[in-house]
Amino acid sequence: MSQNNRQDEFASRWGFLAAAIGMAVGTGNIWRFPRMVALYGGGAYILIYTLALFLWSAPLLMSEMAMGRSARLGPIGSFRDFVGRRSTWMGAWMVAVCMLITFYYAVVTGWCMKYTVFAFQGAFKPGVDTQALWDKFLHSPWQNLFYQFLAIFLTGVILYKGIKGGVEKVTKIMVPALFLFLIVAALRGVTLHGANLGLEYIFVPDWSKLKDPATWLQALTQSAWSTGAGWGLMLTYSVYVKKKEDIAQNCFVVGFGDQTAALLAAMAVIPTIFALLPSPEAAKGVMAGSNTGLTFISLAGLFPRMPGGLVIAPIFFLAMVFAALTSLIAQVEVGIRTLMDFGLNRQKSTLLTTGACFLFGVPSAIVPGFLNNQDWVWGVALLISGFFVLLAMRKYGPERVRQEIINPSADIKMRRWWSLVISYVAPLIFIILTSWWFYVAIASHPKTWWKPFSIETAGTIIFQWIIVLVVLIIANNFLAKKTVRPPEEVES
Amino acid sequence: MKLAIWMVIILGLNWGGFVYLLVRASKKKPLK
Repeated sequence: MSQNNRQDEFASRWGFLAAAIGMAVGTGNIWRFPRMVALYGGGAYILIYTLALFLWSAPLLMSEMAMGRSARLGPIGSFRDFVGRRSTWMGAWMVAVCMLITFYYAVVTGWCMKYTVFAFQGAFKPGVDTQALWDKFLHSPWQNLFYQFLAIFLTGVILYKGIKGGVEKVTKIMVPALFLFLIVAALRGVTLHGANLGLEYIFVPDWSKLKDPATWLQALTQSAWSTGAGWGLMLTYSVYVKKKEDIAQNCFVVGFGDQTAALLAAMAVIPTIFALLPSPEAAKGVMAGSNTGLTFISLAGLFPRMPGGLVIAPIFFLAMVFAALTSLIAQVEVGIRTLMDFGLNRQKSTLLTTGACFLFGVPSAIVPGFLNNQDWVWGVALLISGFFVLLAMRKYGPERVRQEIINPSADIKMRRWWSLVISYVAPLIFIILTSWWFYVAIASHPKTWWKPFSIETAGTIIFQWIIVLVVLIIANNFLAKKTVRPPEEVES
Repeated sequence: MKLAIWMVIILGLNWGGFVYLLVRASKKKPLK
């Protein structure tokens, strides 16, 4: 195999780690994790969240990496080769869910870009009505479309250049910069007068919250969503690693890196809210609100009241852009890899995937309710994707994966606990989490839960999942046949 | 005091784990 004929791959382990950490650290680390910590018992929540890394997220990331590194194909081909031809649709489900999330995530990335522009323009002046500012922007379709296009365009330019020449080069700069921005914002947050109360809400455990099932379920859900486990992102990036790249070590670096970023974000956000709002009740009210309310309304309104706030605001929103963009790059790559496995070259695949992302993201950009619906439906669907990865491991044999794929090239070797988690603990977590989300969906709309065209009902989840599942199961054989190993990867 | 102790435990576990793994990863070169 000549050097020129080799598949594009990460040039260094650091390059892969930068891309993978960038994939995991997204807006959820910055606008969701701090809210959850403050609402569900601070240190007690963080301890469960850390436990979840070992019982769900890291084992799933390792499973994905084992699949991608071995099969050298995206999710569709990996499921075909690992589980069997008849289960190809499971990989297609993983791609479909990831892309359906990507369609609206580009809009969210655009919001972060717009607020970075606002911050650099000095729009967050004392007395500014940030609620009106947000409402005006959210209901400006052309502005939303412009920033959505910008997010996809930048992502497309990076991915067009490939893994080594695009993704690796860019994430090696953006990910360290993201951590630096978060450190600066956290230092400002913890040095504010009155920051101690906020820090207590983050770190001192409220053990009474352990009795509340919601604390456990929210911590497990946050870990599952935040690390990117089950999205197919780690699987896709692993197609481009060296064939004996360490699986366990890299996945734990990604998991702990994700938690480090989340804790930095909490230290930037929570002390700021508690120090600058008039009472702890008001602060808790903000935390109980929404992700966008916390970031684009409350924090945007507090920056002008903070010493150095005019400098911190652009840094904070730039961190949001970097977090969102490095995740968006990984998500779009899932679509590109899928088309490349169908035999298209990277350039054509990039143009087609980014074009689709823009077109199918338009409804989310111009109708906020549509975006909320998609976030609700496909966020829960990620748990199903994770379960399919567990099924793939079960079919191939967790002990076989551990002994034949993970451990031979590992610095940190996995012991039998890994197979036990994959076989029993993680499936149990899946059943509990999925049941709980459906219970919440039904309990919050007891009379209308079945409605398929409402924004946040169980009915809309079931309706949309069934449509996608039926289409993919019908297309199973076509997808299995269409997915081919690139010529340079065919063993002679 | 209670806050300081819990900050050391939680940040030590998470940030300490991250830095330890990063350093360990940088020392071992992946096999081709």
